[in-house]
Amino acid sequence: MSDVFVKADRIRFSVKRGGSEYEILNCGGFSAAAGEFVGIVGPNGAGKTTMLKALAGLIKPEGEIRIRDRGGRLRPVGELSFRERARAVCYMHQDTYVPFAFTAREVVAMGRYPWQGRFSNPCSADDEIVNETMGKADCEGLSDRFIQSLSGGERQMVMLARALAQDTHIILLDEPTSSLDIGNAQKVLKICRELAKTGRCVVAVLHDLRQAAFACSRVCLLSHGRILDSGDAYQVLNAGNIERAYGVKAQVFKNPAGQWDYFIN
Amino acid sequence: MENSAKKRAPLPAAAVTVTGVIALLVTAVVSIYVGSTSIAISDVVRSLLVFCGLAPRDSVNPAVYLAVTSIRLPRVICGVLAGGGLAISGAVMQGVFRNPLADPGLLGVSAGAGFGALLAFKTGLASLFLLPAFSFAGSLAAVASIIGIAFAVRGGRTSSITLVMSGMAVSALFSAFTSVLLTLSNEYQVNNYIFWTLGGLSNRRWEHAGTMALPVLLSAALLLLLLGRLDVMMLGDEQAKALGVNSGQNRVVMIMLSSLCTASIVCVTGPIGFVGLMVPHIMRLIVGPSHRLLCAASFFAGGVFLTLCDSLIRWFSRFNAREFSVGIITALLGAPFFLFLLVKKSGSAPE
Repeated sequence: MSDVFVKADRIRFSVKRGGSEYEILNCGGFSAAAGEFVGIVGPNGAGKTTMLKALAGLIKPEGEIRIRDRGGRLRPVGELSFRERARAVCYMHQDTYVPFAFTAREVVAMGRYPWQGRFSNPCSADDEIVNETMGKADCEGLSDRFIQSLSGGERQMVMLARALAQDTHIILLDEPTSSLDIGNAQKVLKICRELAKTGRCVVAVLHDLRQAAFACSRVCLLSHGRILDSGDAYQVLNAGNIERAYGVKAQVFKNPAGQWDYFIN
Repeated sequence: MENSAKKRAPLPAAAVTVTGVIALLVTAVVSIYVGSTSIAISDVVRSLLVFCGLAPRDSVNPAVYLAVTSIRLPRVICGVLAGGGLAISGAVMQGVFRNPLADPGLLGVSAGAGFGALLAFKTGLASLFLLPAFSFAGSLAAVASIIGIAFAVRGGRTSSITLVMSGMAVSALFSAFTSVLLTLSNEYQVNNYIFWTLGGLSNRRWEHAGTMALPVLLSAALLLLLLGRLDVMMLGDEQAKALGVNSGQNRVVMIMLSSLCTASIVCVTGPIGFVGLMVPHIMRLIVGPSHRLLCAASFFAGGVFLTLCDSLIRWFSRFNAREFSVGIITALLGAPFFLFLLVKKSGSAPE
């Protein structure tokens, strides 16, 4: 684990409401390294999104979160300037709503913002990266369509292209496959694996255990704000852990294609 | 392909600026030409050339020169500044609140200005300069209390919804103050106030243009510098933060600038509706939603639109002794045109 890109130590996050405190996240340690594609799984309200936001530096939990900056140093995320952080980490959230009639291409081009000067217009290098990421996410065909006229799944692909256009070495995706058809979901997982292969570090919240087991190099199971288990999919996603986290009985088996599969009864 | 892609971005900006400046100049000349007494267009152009020092002083009739440069020209400049400033403020507010229904008066600027103006009428201090000063102070009081409340509630991390809700509350409070004061006013004061609320440019002179010019141009220029990041803010606060934009901070700065701009206009002209709401919508359909271009285009279009509306009023005043207020014309012309655009474009460009 020499090439650690993200490292969280004893992070705890809670919200106060009406005098009482609700703990959302309280996990001992989490780290992800170059070349890893980590899947965060767990039931609703387990703290998956909160964890991702904390890693992205969007919320400030107790404890320490360090990320690797562009220069290769592991630094506390709060120490980085907004721009430095935006050049190191991208974050794709679940909400894909954009007001006003921006075209899909304009939305993807917003991903280039951290790389642009205040007064300069997008240069041809930006345009090339936008073309490339839209090609990768298979949404060039949507280029001139208005973002609001797209379906939820199409918007999600555009948002993925926008996140990739940010060209960061740490890529955080919150449920990137939630509204996608099986073909596009497979495409997104493949993109994540390829990004990891090129030395980037991908952390994605996933709901489908099958997807996580198939695509991720490591799975991290969250429940009630704690990390229940972390490691290879076949070890973490066993019947006992699934019952503890989700409260359902699951049969874990290898399907005819030789992949781990889950039957919930 | 790469070349055309590289040139694509700056080209429309240049085109918009050139078109905008030409449209403003043409509108200004036409607007100076139109009026209750007729002045030949050649005399208008000659007077303007003299005014700019480009022609000898004796080449134009002194009475005509005076009418053009000290009555009609300042009024046209007031119209350009007011229309442009209201439109750019509207465009910024709609962006900042991610809401196409936002307008420059959303955060109590109009309600505060109205209260200030009525206070001036009530105390008998409604002179050429004190009336704007009172209503400007009223606007700033309203906006400052809204931003203060938002900071107190969220400790500086001001969300749109907190701002809109405190804006509604403070506006209601100032309207209530105004109602109390109206109840205590005599007929003459009430009439003055009602006439002020119609909004207009009549009898606006160089002093007025001078009062508006600095705050309007300064805030418009600063907004245009900041607006690159407003596009990113359309993705939502969290996503914008992940892209390196501090939405909360930027929102407050942009709101303060556009409120300053609006307040310095409204205090001189009274409230003029529809320009700030509709001009940005119309421009969005023409130049697209990207904010820097949209706001520049809105500034030019707002200036042209308000000046043309004002010309129409002065032309009407040839047949009718009493001038209509420009706010009536902006609504009468703007509202149907806006509805027409909505119906025509609803299929292709959803808002």
